[in-house]
Amino acid sequence: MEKIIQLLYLQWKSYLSVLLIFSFMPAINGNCQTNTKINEETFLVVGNKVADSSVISILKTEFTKTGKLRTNKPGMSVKQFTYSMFTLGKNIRNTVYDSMMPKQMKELVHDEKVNYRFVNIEGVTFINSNNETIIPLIDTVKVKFLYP
Amino acid sequence: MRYLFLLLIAGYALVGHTQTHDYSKSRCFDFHKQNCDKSTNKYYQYNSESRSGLFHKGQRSRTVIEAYNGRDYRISICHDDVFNKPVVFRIIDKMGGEVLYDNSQDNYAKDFEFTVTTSIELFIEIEVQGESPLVEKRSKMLIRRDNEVGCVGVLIEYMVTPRKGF
Repeated sequence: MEKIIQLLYLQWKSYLSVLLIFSFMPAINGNCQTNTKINEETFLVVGNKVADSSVISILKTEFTKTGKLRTNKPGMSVKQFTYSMFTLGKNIRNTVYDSMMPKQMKELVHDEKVNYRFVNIEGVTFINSNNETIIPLIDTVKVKFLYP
Repeated sequence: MRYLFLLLIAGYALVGHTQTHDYSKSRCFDFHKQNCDKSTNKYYQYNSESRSGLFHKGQRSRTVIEAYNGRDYRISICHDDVFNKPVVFRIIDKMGGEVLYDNSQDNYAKDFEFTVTTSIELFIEIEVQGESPLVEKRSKMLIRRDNEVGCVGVLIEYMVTPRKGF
């Protein structure tokens, strides 16, 4: 009899824990959603070019001129991006948790021997003054390099 | 004379009939010239090794290209809308078999530009993703043309890599 009571007690506990988790789930989900927003008006700025389409063309010198990726809205900056570069037999993919272009990226862009013809900037996120993460509508841009 | 005239007409009709049923040639002929996006760079020239072919889902096929030192190449692909999954293209070293580029790692890009520093023979491999209609082993098997077969074009362009300075 005692065993049955114990079993019932355990079952009741597990039911309660499941109930509690389910009741808190919308709150947890809602909390995550308020911190990440999708923004249709803010675009990534590469060099001095607004990336308002998924493919843009730019000179290599112009691409690295500012040394950072920016946005077209004041008070908002790039929080994170991933860049990938491809040529025959070589590919590089790195994630940057900053708006600044890493040294390696700039060196690769200007590597005359390999002569990368494009760079993909993927998974771009912005951060605003309220510390909110913003996902731009165009979060992946292929930057093709023009010959001077 | 009249019979000869009738015979000629019948002959032409027969030729026309066979041509419309020569599916691979009539439908995919010069598909790449009409459907693949050409480079906006005016210095790129058409390479005669560009190809078009009829593919079914799940098919993989290769073509060879010789890339010369000091040249820029641009390879772009285009395909019929029947393929609901992106078409994969790989560039493989003909000598060693090493995969030098795979567009599935590059967001399934439809074009790829590169500079060649040493002359090299390359395979361009096209893979149409999807379940092959040839997998099912039935005695009377039909491949549906409308949703399982389509054209794939490979447009190859090249130009002399511009030099910097004098």
